[in-house]
Amino acid sequence: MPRTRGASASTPKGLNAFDGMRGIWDSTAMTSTQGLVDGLDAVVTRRFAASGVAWWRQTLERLTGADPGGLAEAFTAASRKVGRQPLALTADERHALTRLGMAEAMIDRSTTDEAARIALLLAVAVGKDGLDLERLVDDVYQSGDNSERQAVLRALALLPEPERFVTLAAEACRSHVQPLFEAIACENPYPAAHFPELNFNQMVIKALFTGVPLARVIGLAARITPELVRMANDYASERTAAGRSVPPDIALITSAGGHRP
Amino acid sequence: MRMFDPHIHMTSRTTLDYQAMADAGITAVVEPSFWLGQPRTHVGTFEDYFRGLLGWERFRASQFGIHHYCTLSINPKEANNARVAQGVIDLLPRYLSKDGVVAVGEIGYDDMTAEEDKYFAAQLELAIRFDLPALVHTPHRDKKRGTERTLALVRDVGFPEERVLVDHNTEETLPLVLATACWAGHSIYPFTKMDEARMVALVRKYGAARILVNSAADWGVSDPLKVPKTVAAMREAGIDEAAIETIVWRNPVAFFGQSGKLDAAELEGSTDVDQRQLFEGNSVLRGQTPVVQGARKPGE
Repeated sequence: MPRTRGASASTPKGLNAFDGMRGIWDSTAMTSTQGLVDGLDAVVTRRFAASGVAWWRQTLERLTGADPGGLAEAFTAASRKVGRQPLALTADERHALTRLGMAEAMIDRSTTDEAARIALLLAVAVGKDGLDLERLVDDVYQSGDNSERQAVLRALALLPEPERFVTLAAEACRSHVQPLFEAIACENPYPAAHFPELNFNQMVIKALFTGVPLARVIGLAARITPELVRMANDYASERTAAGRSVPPDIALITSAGGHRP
Repeated sequence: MRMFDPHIHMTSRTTLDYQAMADAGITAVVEPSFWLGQPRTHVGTFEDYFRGLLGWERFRASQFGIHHYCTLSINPKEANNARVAQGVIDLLPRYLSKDGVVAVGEIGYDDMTAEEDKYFAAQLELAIRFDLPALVHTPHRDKKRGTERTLALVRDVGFPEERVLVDHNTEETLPLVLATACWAGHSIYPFTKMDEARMVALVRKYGAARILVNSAADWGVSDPLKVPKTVAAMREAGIDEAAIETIVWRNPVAFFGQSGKLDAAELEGSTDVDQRQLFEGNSVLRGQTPVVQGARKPGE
């Protein structure tokens, strides 16, 4: 079952990017989604070659209108239209996006095509009653190439009612495509906010197993449970029995007592 | 020495691999159905995969003098995929009774979810119904707990332990498996799972009974020659020939022989190679002269 923790309309905004974002969604989800679309739109537009701007304007207009059709096609085309370079945000842009709820660690690693794709997904999600967003997101993900899938995973926490995407996110954790795994496990607030304990723990152990620094897992400290501590200790024991080294950052888990889930 | 690789995903390998395996003495393989690195989204792709394992892949192996057997299942990872899991279970009865299917597998745990419990148990039931042994994968993460839970489930279902091969063992899981009547597989990998030197140490400590080794070679970083390389390491370490032969030949033949579909006499006879053969009009050759060894030539 999806897990929602500490989220309520009274959550004060702006404590940190992550908590602030959850507070915004629970109170005025649509306005905030629109705010994010506008924020990302501004960032992406500035990075377009002149020839791409018309396409971008048209596409956004169509998708924010009544018709979400064409999302998959636009989603795919975005990387060719806007390029794949690092976002390299100005201080003002960075400030604006984090204030709108995007995780700092995530946008610092983001690229122009990823930002454009997140904006497209959010644009579709804004204020359309009866839209089967779950199915639309799933379709874009399943038919996507690796970089499209990564953008979907980066967007999940920003979409309205994000807990409905737990199955998709957990499936991404099972992937052998390491960049895909990292798109959900690293610099992404989604797992800590929405994963049930089992999925969260498996993700963290897989991060250890695949050599991902645990510091990249957002919200880890608050999700350490006695079970995760046991799993990490067992992993260290298995590595030792095999005559292999134990990653030093495992101590982030094993030296914590573990909160009750 | 004749060798058997009881766990290798040949659909992910090339004919050069088949040739190198044959040259190194491998004359039989078991190819468990598994996952393809990313989730499938249609049941139909599983059906074509099963048909490929039973058809084209068996033929391809035969062109290099290698007996190819397979095991079929919904694998532990994709047991979590509601799009396909039940559909594959419904498909299995059509294929489990085929020649060449020597077990249900790989089944078992990945994340140890409730869905994995359900389909693991359901497939043990299918193994009972089709009188087949079971090849059980143990998880990469939380392996010891996963192995304990595997053995507990086998017991709960009442599946005969001597018909279970628990795979991908480590120093910590092998004693758990040997404490039951199950067989214990070891996947010798370049970097993860088990390596040759560690395997030698395990054989020294536990002997050869119910112990198997395999390459588990697939589309990842892996080596289809790990069985012969482990044989060389065991030999170098002074492990006697009879024990080595038990591990890389007699044990896999005895375990999968429980399916009634693996004929030891046929396996130990000569392996004819006739690359003039076609499968549904296709040949593994690309302009080379066909190799014909031991096979009767036309007019003979």
